[in-house]
Amino acid sequence: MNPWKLGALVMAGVLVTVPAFAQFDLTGKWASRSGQDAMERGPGPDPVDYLGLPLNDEGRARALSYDYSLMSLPEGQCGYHTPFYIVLGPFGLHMWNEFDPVTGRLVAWKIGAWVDKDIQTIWMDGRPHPSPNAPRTYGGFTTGRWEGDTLITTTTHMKSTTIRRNGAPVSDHATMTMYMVRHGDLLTIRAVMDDPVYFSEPLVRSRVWALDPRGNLNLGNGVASPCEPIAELPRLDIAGLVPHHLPGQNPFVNELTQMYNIPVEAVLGGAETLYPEYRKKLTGYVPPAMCKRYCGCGGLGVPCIEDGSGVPR
Amino acid sequence: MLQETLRRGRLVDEHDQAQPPASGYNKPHFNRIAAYPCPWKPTSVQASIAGAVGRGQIMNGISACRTAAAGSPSRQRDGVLAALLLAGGLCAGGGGALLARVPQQGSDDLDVVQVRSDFYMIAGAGGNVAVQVGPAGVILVDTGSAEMSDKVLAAVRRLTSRPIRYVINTSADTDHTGGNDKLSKAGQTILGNPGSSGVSEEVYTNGGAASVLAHENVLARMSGQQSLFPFAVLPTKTYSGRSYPMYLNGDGIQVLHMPAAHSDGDSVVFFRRADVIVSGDILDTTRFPVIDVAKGGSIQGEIDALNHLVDMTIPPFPLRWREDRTYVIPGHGFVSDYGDLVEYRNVVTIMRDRIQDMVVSGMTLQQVKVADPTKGFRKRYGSDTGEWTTEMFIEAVYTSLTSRR
Amino acid sequence: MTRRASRSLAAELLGLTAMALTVVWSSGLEAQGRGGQGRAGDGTSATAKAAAPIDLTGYWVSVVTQDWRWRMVTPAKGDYASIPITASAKKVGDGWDPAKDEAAGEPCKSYGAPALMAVPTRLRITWRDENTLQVETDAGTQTRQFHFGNWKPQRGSATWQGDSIAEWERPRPARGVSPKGGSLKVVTTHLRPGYLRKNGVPYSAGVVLTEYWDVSTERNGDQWITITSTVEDARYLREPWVTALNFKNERDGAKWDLTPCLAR
Repeated sequence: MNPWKLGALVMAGVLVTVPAFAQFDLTGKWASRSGQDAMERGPGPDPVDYLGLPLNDEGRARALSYDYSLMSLPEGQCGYHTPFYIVLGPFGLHMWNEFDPVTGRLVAWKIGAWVDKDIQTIWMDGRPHPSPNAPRTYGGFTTGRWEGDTLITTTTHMKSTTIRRNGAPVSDHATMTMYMVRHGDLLTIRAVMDDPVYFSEPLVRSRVWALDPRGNLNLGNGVASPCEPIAELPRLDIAGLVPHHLPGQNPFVNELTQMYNIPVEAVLGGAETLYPEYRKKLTGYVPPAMCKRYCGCGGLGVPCIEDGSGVPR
Repeated sequence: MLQETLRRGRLVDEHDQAQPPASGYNKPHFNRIAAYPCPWKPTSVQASIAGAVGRGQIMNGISACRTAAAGSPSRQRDGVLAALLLAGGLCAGGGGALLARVPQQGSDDLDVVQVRSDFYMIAGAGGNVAVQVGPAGVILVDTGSAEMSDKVLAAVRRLTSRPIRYVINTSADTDHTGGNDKLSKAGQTILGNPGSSGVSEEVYTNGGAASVLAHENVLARMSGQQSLFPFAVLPTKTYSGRSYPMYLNGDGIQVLHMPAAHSDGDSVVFFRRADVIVSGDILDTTRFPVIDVAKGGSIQGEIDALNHLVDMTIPPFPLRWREDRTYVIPGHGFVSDYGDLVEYRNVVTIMRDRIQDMVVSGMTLQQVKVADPTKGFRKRYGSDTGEWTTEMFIEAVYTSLTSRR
Repeated sequence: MTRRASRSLAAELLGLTAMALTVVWSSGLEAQGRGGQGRAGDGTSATAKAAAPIDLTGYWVSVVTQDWRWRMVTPAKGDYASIPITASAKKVGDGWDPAKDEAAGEPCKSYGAPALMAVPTRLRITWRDENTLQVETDAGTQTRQFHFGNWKPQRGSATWQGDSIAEWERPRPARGVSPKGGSLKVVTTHLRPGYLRKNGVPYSAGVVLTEYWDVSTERNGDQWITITSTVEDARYLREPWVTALNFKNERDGAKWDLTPCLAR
């Protein structure tokens, strides 16, 4: 072949594939490195625990009506969590990309599914978001763009679901933004959930993963898992039964106060409780003498001490 | 960019014909699901590949960049992108593939959302209008409000040049029936010789226009209100009993009566092959359901109807990340599925339960309103202004519950 | 060699050279996935302040949406959730006695650098000089100094905030374009032993704290700092303890409120 042509072809091929600006590579298996929120990620939050959530009055009222038995209904068993669960859940990330085979341009990044989170496609090809009348999905519709070395994604069209596994709600009017930054083999995602229906300000949380060359993601292997609902409890077979707590009748409202001495006003969440000055309202707080449950032992830490109470600590 | 594309070209099968084919449902196989404007122009290489692959080939890709349409030479699209890319891993998008379809804007005020290859929803016309397109022509479910009927007709024309053959009304509401006259008259009757029925052909065939079908209670309600419902918008065909079936455009269509729900004349329309249910105002993702007690609606009937819809709607289980699912076109709001329907059913049931609890404890309507049983749901579904307020909803439910006692 | 042959050879050499140059050039354009190191502020060129790819100065406030029960209030003794402690750490932590710390005049043990950013606090970030970024907290009235360039740690006792060496990280230019953005990397050592958490979860003198500070701006103009931090302590941690914390920018210091360290 003519060497001129060959050289030109090679240059053209490389120039097409080299990004126009310095983006980072997201592909691979990213293992969770979460040194925060072990309780929420692991055993799950307590029934009325809205600590750290900027719920407004509507969100709080909706959350207090939630009955865990909703998940036992056949129609409640196979849903997914919101995409925000990416910073709430315990699992790793499997990420890959899709290229246009003709132009070589990146079309999308994909974040693999978990057993309880839908696959997420981050469209990088400039396509617009769908109409407000288009369907909602659990995974939503996500577009992405680079700003310097940060990948910023915007997700809309998410279904109405829960922001926390105890029923604190997020509506189908919410928008989620993620800011993804890589430092060496660490990936940090700051996620912002903006819900004008249930939050008085956006909910912001961050999480870190580390690239894992062994690719062991421990259940969050990126492969979507099937789900078949079954009738779990005979009494929930009654057609049209919808478990919920009537206003003022949620039996778990004072549980966190009883266990941890935290005032119920803080337990019920709200934007005011997120800022340092709120500590002035907690002057009467005295911590419990000793940790009695989920103290970081067993799966969450060192071997547990059995003190004969039957409760590992 | 999208609107420009849609104004210049049609986002439908290029083999669309002016007249329906004589023999059944055997249109050429360019079974493109949807189109969205590609963000870049294809190269000559891509265009030649698209030409080889595009025509006469079955392309069941989830979405495609359009190839050049007549009248829009500046809008070349790359059909290869769909065939090669999106038939593969991108299909694993859990319903996200449907979202990858860019909305097809009709006129300035209308939003046309493609639901299936031959099924659309037109929003913004008052109530949602469902449009099924096939060899026999167009089946409409509801026609929007009278003032929007020109725009609805124009939107339908952008989808197909085939005639409107049938209109089905889900209720008597003016935002669902206002376009009956204009849209049916713009169409063509599917009926023919009246035979020995004893009526003239003019009457039998609605003067050659498309038939307008509704439950007989709809006709009864509309007939009594000449000021709201001129003669021209009245249904021309009614059914009584539980259902009315038909087969058109290769699809089994069941029109099912839902008694005493939003009103006493509600129908839901189930397109079995398309697997789309048009629910009318029984499902309304924008607000609490309108319970028209004066027209025979009731909260229990509404809940029963929602539960019936839940039973009819198939979720994407067990492969829940796939797009396969029943779609439900609500009377107002976004194209929904099983999960959305269950959510709405849950909300309405909780509202009923809360107000029921207050009724049992002896509270008056005024006391119930002050107690605000809609807390936690009001901001999402309620309204303090407009034609259907939260207070009206509470009153309707209260009246509905206390009138049973 | 004939003229024709020599032209052909020249063409070959040119083509091959083009290929080789492209390969060399593109390898230098690798995506910044491995943490591109733009080492500005090394004292030999622009100062750290002049070379800053991001602006961290101003007032910032903790927004406690994560680990509320372990940060906003003091958790119970023996609560080690989320921290991968060793058995020796558990032994020390189980003996936590805040009264003892108060009596010994050591109320600031949980305000050391490895724990400070998790304390609900406000930050005031300024340039102390051209190559020293200063971070003050109103909670506990603490000051951290991040030293760029060839700064050498002072000899002497370890302190609560230790010695912090900072550098800017910025993505490599690609196709001749220098992209915006970058991060602050800080490595802190020479720390007095203290607590990772207010309830006495210990860290030792050998602890190493590595932080990455990123700034992002939302559509509504809100600016946020996200600090990704890794605490490594061979004595008290089974594995590195990794967290990410968020601070929102505030227009001014109207809510700046200096408070002393509290042992409880």
